[in-house]
Amino acid sequence: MLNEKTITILLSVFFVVLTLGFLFHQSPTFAGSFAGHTLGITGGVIMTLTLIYPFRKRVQKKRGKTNPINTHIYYGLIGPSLVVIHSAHKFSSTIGVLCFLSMLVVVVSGIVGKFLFRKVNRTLKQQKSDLEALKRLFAQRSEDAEKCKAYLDIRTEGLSGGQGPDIADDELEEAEGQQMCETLLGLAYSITELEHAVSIFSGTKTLFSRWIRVHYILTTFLFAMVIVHVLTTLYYGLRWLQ
Amino acid sequence: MKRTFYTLGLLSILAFSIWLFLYDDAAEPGPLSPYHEDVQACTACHRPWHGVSDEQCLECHDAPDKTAVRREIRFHEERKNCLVCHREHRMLGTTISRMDHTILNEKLMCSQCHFDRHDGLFGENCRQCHGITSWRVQGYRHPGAGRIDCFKCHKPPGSHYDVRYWSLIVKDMSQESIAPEDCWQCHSIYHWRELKMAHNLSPLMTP
Repeated sequence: MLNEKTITILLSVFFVVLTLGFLFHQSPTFAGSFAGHTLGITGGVIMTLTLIYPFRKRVQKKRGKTNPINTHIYYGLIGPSLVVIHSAHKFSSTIGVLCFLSMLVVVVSGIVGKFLFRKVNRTLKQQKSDLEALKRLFAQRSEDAEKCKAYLDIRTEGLSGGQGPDIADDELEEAEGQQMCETLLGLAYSITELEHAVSIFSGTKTLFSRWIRVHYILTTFLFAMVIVHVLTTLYYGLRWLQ
Repeated sequence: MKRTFYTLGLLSILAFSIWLFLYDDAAEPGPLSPYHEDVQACTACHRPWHGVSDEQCLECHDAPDKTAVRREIRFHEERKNCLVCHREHRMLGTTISRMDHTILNEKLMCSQCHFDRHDGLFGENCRQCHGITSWRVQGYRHPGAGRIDCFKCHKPPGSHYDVRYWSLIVKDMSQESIAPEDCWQCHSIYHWRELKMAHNLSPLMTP
């Protein structure tokens, strides 16, 4: 049984392969034939079904399992694939080209969003959880931090020729103190680096939250072009409906 | 502020869409052929919300004198189904006409347009063997290798009746008397260009 990720990847590859077909194939009359229009209409209807997801999400406030994104992705790949077949790789009319390009940009932005946004989100969640764990660990060892601070102060004074207690005589204590300090410093470095990474990924996430707006704007433009395309087709007449 | 931005964006898209719909050239699905390139308005051929009809084609293309039409295209007298064979806005370099034989009736003989490659050996009724949508003869199987009456269907080419060439052709044949109709003596059935004859044809082929 194919899982959701595999289906998405297969549909994406199918779409990309179909689109690249324009390098090898072009039919001047298929798009306006009965079969071509049937595919175009079916593709358009399926593309319209993608709007169910944002409607349920934004208007009905349904998220998560009650409104899975997978159907949105499937519709968003199957519909455009049918539209590519409908186009028969003929790019002549301005409206047709605008429709096709905007559809391509919307699908690509969807694919990028699906894979990268999810990846960034998951990585950020993981990083935040790791950071919390490291901070907890550091807090648990706050006593050690005090000791380490004292140890380092003494060491500093000793090295600068000051009159500190003669702890260097006890080699065992010296070794333990050094190990404890190294562990704590390592922990502190890890926390610092992870905090830095979290800040970068948070920035990327913010950028992606703007991307979704771009996706919406592009989708609006796409459907406007689709409506114009349908209207002009009806205005100039259907070839097979004579 | 955000709402104003979105409203303006939507209005821009709406205005652009309306302009695109009203701009005829934006919908042109391909260049017109040289025959129609002087046509200025789309509505000269496309009736709004109806499309192209035979009547509109006939406004320019109606031939008043029927006898002026060539014999093989007299089916145009029917003055209908123009768009079945003639299509515009195709890609550059492609033809405006593509014959669709399915619209023809039984009265039109194939030989009026097509050259008979059988030289009349099978009569005039091509449709006895050939289909309309596919010229390939359905279920046809060539007679087996044992047959020697090829000439019943295949006519030897002119060179085989020219004494100068024929003497060269049969030069190395063991049998001296061989007729051009005895195709099977040199040709094999399934590979017509592979000759069974002994002599090498290459000196004849080279200039």
